[in-house]
Amino acid sequence: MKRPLKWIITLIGIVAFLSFGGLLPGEPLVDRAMVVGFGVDLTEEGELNVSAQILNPSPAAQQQGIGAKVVTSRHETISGAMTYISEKSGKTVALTHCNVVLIGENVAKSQYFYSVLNYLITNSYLSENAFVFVTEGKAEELLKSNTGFGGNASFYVQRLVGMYGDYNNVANKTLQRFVVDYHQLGQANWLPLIKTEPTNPDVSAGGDQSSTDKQILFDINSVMIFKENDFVAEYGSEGTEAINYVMNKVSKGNVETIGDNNEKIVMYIIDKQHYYKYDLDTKTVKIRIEISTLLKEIIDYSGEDKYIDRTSLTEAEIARAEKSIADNILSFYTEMQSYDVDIFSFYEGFYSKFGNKALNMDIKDIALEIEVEVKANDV
Amino acid sequence: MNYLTKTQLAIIVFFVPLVFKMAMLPSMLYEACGPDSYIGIAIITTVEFLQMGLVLFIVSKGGMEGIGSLYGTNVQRLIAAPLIFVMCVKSLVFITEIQTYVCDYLFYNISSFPIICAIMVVIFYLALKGVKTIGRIFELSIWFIPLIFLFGILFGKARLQPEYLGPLFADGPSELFGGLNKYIIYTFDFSPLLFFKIEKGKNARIVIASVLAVIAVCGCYMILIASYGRATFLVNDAFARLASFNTVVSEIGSLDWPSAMLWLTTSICNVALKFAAMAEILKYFNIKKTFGLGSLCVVIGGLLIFLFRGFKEAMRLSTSPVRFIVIGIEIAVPIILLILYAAKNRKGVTLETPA
Repeated sequence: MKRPLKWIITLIGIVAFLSFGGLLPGEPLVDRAMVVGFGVDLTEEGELNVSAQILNPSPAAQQQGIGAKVVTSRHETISGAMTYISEKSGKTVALTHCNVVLIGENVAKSQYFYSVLNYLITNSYLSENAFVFVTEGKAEELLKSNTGFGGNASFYVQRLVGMYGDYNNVANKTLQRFVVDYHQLGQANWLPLIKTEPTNPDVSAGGDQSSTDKQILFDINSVMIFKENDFVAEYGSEGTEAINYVMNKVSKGNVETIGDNNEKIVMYIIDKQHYYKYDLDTKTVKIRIEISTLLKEIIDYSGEDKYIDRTSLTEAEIARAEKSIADNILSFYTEMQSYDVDIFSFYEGFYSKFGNKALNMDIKDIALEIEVEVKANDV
Repeated sequence: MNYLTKTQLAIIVFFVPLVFKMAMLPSMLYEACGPDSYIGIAIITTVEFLQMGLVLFIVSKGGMEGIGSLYGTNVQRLIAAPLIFVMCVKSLVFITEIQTYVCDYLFYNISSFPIICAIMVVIFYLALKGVKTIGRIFELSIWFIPLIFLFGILFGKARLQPEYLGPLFADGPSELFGGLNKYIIYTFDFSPLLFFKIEKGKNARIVIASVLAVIAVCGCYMILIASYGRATFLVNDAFARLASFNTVVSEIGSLDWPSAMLWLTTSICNVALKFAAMAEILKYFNIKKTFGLGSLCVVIGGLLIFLFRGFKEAMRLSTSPVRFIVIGIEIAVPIILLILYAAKNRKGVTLETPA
């Protein structure tokens, strides 16, 4: 076929598609239940209570402030519950835009825990990069809550993770990372725990919401520790910080220390690197953590203000900050050892370096040496 | 037209060993060999290029068509006919992979019947148009790679754990070779090139493409294992996972489409290349191209719909002793052709190949 003819036919094809493409059979957006957040709870009868936060794409709904609705259904299986949601809403449930999965505390502490997550991991439509959280209380309640700063709960969580995901005291984990950790040698795992707190001062939801529920804020500084399928313990920000410093990317956050004259000093983290060294003979793991910071704030509670006007820290002040971080990590690790949980994946590290010789180690025998270097750059 | 330019050949040389090693194979190979699989796949891909070197050398001497001129049609038929069996078995396995990708990953849980029909129609059309069209599509699809890299740089959030790549040969090399032996059918894919003409000239681009292919295959396996660790056995659609940046789904929509387009296009072209070669073989038996290709598509499509329904059935075939026959033929045919050309060369008979 001659080239000009090809171009003419292609052009006619494009014009025809643009003109008559709407006539092709398809599923309009309004017929799809676009799930943006997904929650799973356990009922007292042992059934799963599945909640889906569904976007309402119609402009009228957006104007009335009902841009998202939570639909809930009970069933013995997640897919069964989703079918009911589909029937109730009269729409096809679409998980492709769901980036938040909330696991109710009762599910996280039950024997169904991994079954629930396994179904979600193997569901090709749900992104494996979706964030997973355990909720204090019921996931359904959290999805339905009035968030303090507008938007639905799912978007609010996403925004928190997007903005603060690399903070030293903020926990986040994707479905993919959960399943990778689950299959590690030690099978130790952790998930961020969302806690809620009312806005201060308390305000009632008004304007776009008809309810008078109190508005709440989310706190994602805590973690829940698991071993295989079992819940082990819950930790606040000290646990989150230990995990983040040793295993995760940290490029934001605060390091606090006490000055030589009891002033309160805050340094802002700009980068963190960590290096592991495994010694099989002594069964020791040496971790070196380098934290780059900027001096951010000095408050002198003595009221004399004579230690404020400076742009650098003394060696003793930096050493105090380093010790505080190292002590926190060591104390967290010691607790994990007492639970027989290989939280920092040391089994995997030893096996990778030394092969079968390093199999069948006991986490209680593995010593941890932490070296922290805080680089406090002048402002 | 059965003519490939050097650039098209270089791109085909890059994609042919890559495409089907990057879908289901990584998870299966990891299950069989553990982290050693990335070393194993690098070794096997390198060996595969020895076959390619041999195939291209024979093509430069006149290929399968030259054998017909030198030894007659019967010898040509005798040597080429077993390759129909080889390409049919491989096509069955590879089309099942495409079908699984579309039905299980791209469109979650849909019926395979319309998908198989659509795939067969596309393969029929491409094979009918010939290797020039297939080469051109390969040439165009390579532009998805920089797009995937660009999206990766902008939106990718890989968390790579190098310790998942070790230990190597923890249980000795036997486990690795056992795994490679089981999935050997995924290698030695260059015999279709025996049936096409290739532009003459320097081979620098082919060598570069071969090296890049080994690096790409090995690199992708390493990234996959460093990302998924012991959960690699769960990752059925390796390439799709590596090139998916769904963290941005809620903001600007899914960016998976370049990887989906690249894999689908190159995988279908890869199979179409086999069908185009089979159509050439059928011509030696005086079967018209359209009829021969149509019949092949109906038979393979029918087998996929009624007999090899799903990937597990196709795997049962590909891991059975049939794989040794398939690979044996793939390796033996170029060697036989080399011997035949060498024998004629000793007698001083040479073939004038068109430029």
